[in-house]
Amino acid sequence: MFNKLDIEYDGPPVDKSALSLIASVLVAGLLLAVTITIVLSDKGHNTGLATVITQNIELSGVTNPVTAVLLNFRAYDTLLEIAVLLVVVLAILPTRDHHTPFFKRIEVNKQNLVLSALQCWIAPAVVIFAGYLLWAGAHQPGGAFQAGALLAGASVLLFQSDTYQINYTSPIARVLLVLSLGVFITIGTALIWFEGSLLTYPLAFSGLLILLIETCATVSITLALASLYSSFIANENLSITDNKHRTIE
Amino acid sequence: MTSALFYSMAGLALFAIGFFGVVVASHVMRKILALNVMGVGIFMFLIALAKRNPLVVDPLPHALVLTGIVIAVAGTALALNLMVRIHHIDQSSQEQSK
Repeated sequence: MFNKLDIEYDGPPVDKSALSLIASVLVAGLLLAVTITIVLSDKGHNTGLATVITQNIELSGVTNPVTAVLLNFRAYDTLLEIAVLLVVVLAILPTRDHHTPFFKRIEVNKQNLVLSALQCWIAPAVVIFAGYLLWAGAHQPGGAFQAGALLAGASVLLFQSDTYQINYTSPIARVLLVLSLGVFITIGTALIWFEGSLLTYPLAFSGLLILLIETCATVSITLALASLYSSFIANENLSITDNKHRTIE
Repeated sequence: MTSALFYSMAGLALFAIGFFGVVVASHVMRKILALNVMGVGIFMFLIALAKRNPLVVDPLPHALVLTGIVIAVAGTALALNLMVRIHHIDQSSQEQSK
């Protein structure tokens, strides 16, 4: 009996979560040590690129430094970001019938009072606030991404209240999804012709071009985020109807 | 201790909590949430280091984080959609085996 136990015994039990806890504490400790050295070593003299950006802010066409970085100094990054968003949408866009209209009101058999009231009161306010955020992006915190995220939240609310149906694979939705990337690339390459390099805005039109790109980006980001999170819920509903068909068969 | 140091350390603590979650969690949903906590930790770290000098705020990390948030949201949506697909495939294969 003892021999059998000896054979089966393979060391003390290993607790995986304890090991991971030790590993993450070690990682955190290492990172903390590096950070403390970095922060303490420059003693607040290093201002990063803040001085460069504030010196060149007049050239950007906007007065908010974050917007200036996003859409002028590093516009290329924003272009790629919008492209990434589009790629993600293409990866998981539900293959739905593209002949149904883009936006349609559906008949409600059981209305959720709280959701519909929320939708009536919040959705219009969100649209106005998103417009304000988009406009405010030029001189204070705000901009296309904040406005787009707000509007996407409102459209997920619309989707949840089951009163409206938005088809994200209809031709209109496809055009709107590609709109910002298309406008961005068109403006960027057109500027090679006029200014000599990619995405270098002419000084007189930089504010206007940034506003145009931001507006298109708001529309595309709204649709992209809304379609991503609605398709996540729609898959769930789709599978329920699938199961029903299966049981009938 | 300056506020930049304090907040960057808090960001790193969040990163470590998220790392722990990613390694330990068995459910995909928990892993996705833990990945998000990790991401938020990194964003907080970047934002905190933007104000190393108490008088000047560096706008570049702010722009980086704004870009990062959008990409993180898109990545999370992709992960959630894949998770739902995996769940459905698992369910249908279980039904077939019955």
